[in-house]
Amino acid sequence: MKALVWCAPRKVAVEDVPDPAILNRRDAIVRVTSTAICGSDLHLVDGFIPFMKPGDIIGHESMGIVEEVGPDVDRSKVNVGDRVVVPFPIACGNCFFCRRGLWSCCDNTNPKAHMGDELFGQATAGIFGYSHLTGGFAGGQAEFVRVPLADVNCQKMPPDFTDEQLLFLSDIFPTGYMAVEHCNVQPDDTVAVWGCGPVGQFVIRSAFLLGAGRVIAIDDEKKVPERLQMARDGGALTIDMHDEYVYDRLLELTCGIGPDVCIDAVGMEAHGYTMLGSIYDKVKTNLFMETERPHALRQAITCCRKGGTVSIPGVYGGLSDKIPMGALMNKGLTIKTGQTHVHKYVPELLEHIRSGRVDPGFVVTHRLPLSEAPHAYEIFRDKKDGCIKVVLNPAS
Amino acid sequence: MTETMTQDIPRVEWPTQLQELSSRYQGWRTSIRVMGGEIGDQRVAADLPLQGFSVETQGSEAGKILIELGDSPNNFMIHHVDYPLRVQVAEMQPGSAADVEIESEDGTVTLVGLRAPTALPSRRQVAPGERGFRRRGMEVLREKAHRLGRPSKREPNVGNVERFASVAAGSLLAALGLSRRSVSGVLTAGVGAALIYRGVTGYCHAYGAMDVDTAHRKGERAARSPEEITRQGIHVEQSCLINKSPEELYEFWRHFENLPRIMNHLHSVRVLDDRRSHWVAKAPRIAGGEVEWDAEITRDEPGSVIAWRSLPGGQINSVGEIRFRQAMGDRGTEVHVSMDYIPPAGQLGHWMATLFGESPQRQMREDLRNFKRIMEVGEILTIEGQPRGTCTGMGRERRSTETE
Ligand SMILES: NC(=O)c1ccc[n+]([C@@H]2O[C@H](COP(=O)([O-])OP(=O)(O)OC[C@H]3O[C@@H](n4cnc5c(N)ncnc54)[C@H](O)[C@@H]3O)[C@@H](O)[C@H]2O)c1
Ligand SMILES: [Zn+2]
Ligand SMILES: [Zn+2]
Repeated sequence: MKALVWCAPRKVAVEDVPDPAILNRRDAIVRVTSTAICGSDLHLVDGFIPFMKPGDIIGHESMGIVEEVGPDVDRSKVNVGDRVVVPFPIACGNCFFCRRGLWSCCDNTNPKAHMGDELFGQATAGIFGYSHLTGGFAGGQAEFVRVPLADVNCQKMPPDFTDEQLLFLSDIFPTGYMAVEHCNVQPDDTVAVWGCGPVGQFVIRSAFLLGAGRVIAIDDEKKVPERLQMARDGGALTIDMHDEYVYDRLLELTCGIGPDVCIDAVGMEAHGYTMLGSIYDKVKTNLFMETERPHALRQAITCCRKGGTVSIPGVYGGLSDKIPMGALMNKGLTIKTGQTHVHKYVPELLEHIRSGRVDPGFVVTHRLPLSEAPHAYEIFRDKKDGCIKVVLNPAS
Repeated sequence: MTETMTQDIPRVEWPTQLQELSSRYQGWRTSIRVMGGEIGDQRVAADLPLQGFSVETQGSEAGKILIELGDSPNNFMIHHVDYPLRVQVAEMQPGSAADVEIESEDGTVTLVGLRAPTALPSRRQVAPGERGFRRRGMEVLREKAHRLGRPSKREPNVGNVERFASVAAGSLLAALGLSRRSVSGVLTAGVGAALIYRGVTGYCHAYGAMDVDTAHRKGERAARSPEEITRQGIHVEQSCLINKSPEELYEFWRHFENLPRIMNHLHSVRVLDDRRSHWVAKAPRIAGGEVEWDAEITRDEPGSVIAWRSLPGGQINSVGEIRFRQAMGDRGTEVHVSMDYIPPAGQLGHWMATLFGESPQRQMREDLRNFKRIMEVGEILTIEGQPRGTCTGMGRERRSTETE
């Protein structure tokens, strides 16, 4: 089959590889009909996530048709021919964590758990196509993907929606939703979100679904005007980090108290917006010990109102530096974060789609065949050609 | 003229062919390099006499290729090759040199160089046991840091300085790699990240493969010398939480023949009668490849405790106990295991100690994790056999440029 393979930092290629086979008795093989590229994939391609190995197949936002199921799959849950969305974390549904809705923290699905133990204290769940730290599972940017524990990890979908309406249930819709749901948003709350990428877009939609009074979105109007426009289309006020002082604007808009909820939908590769901040991280990562650039996070903490909540869907992988602990502690902030517990949100978000309150397909700007994936990565990474979200079709 | 014959050995023939290689080259001076691994190219052994190659056919480590080197407890080691994909043998200058190249699914290549034993057995002095390896690993890191303009002046004290060098070198490499955007820059990025991990965690996979602990972690005792182990034995204690009733867990464990499914070092357990069972565990080739002993149950309380001990006359002395207790709330069952191994006296004991001494806490933690997976999920997920691409990006070039 054709699959997208990680070769080295900044190099991916489409290759012919063997078809996946059933390796465990509860596996299924899914023929992928649509698969998307995520901001998290960019962290892999840019070399920010360790333990990628040349030849790894990546991709973790996929859906398709079940082609084959292993002998122990519970066929009352999933069967050959079913149309399914595959959440990016692999969960067992039966451990301490899964039973508490913490699906991305599953204890039983990471074959390389010892690595996670060493790096994080306790290993997290397996994730499709996301380095050997999360199990080294082959990803879904391919014609076929093997889904372990298929009766838990294949989410059956109704026939009456397009792929683009359902695909983002695999990751970014639940990710934006969880980031807001974590914050117990009130009708008079102002939610500020850093980053208007696909995750930021779903944060905005979810904030309104969950009853926020107002949403303010922050990104760079010079670099990605189309993203800020999409944010405004979703009902958000926008701040241009290129031309405006984000802190000043946020305080002005909130009568000096700061946003009640601040959401970092940027992650470890944030661009600096103050000279000092960016030079600091540059020098720091170049000379000393920092593995990421937490500009957006620092600013979110600084801007958040006293007693407010900072929610971090943006991905971090190692050690961040100069996190304003003083502000965090003295202002009494709450931090909420995590890889998304996708499984938990699928039924309720499917209801929102069914009701027509959200049509997730709005975020798609590019539809390309899988064979053009390397080009797709390039335009998505460099924000070229108005690219916000790419959907790849392995069949075309 | 030299004559080279390269041969690709099909997987089905690995056991027999590797067996044959082992007898042909036993005692030859052997070096092992691992290329393209997580922290760059590593030399894991140099100039140790070969004991042999073997393919692990049973247990949760099935599929691995093991290479045993060394002829005394002080220079003995077993190198594990995970997920082998291809085995190639090149026999050069018949009678004087051969190379075995093992490619793993993750793209790493293990190169085993075999050289004819010299007429005068000039065994290079490898300082006591693992310490030799430890120092070599550290030298590599120090050289790396040095090349990047951060010479470390003081004689390092294993854990911390090495760790610092790792983080510093790692951050540097990562930063250089990510900012320079040149070919070599790009290549350093991945290595950098892995070095950071190694620095942050104090854990190095190459060391892991050599079973060298350079620091105390999470209550794990640092690697002890085989002498110490023979004197004091090995004691492991681990616990975990499993979402099954104490009775169900007891049931699985009480059928000792189930244990090889979850315990890495066990080949088989045969139940002889109500109280006695026959255990076979893997052992270094030099000690016969397997050790066997009979055990008897000393305590058996359904749903709560099983204790056992080895019977006299076996090759190993061990006692073990597992306890099951209802956890608070709906957390399932608390499982506590403790085991003691006392290797027999003498040379054999030394080798046994080397085997059982490989980070026993980590091993037991892995075993218990397997127990939990079998009980909660019904299977242990694997990625062995999944497809992967062949592109190595610039990985191959890194090999020829990264190392001196
Ligand atoms: N928690 C999860 O489970 C989960 C799931 C999916 C994605 N993510 C993470 O969410 C983050 C965003 O994903 P995405 O797909 O939207 O990525 P993306 O790269 O498309 O979007 C990031 C956006 O942030 C903007 N940005 C950069 N620096 C900024 C700053 N200092 N202030 C404001 N905006 C800034 C960029 O211009 C860009 O538009 C990534 O870190 C990704 O890994 C997390
Ligand atoms: Zn994602
Ligand atoms: Zn689980």
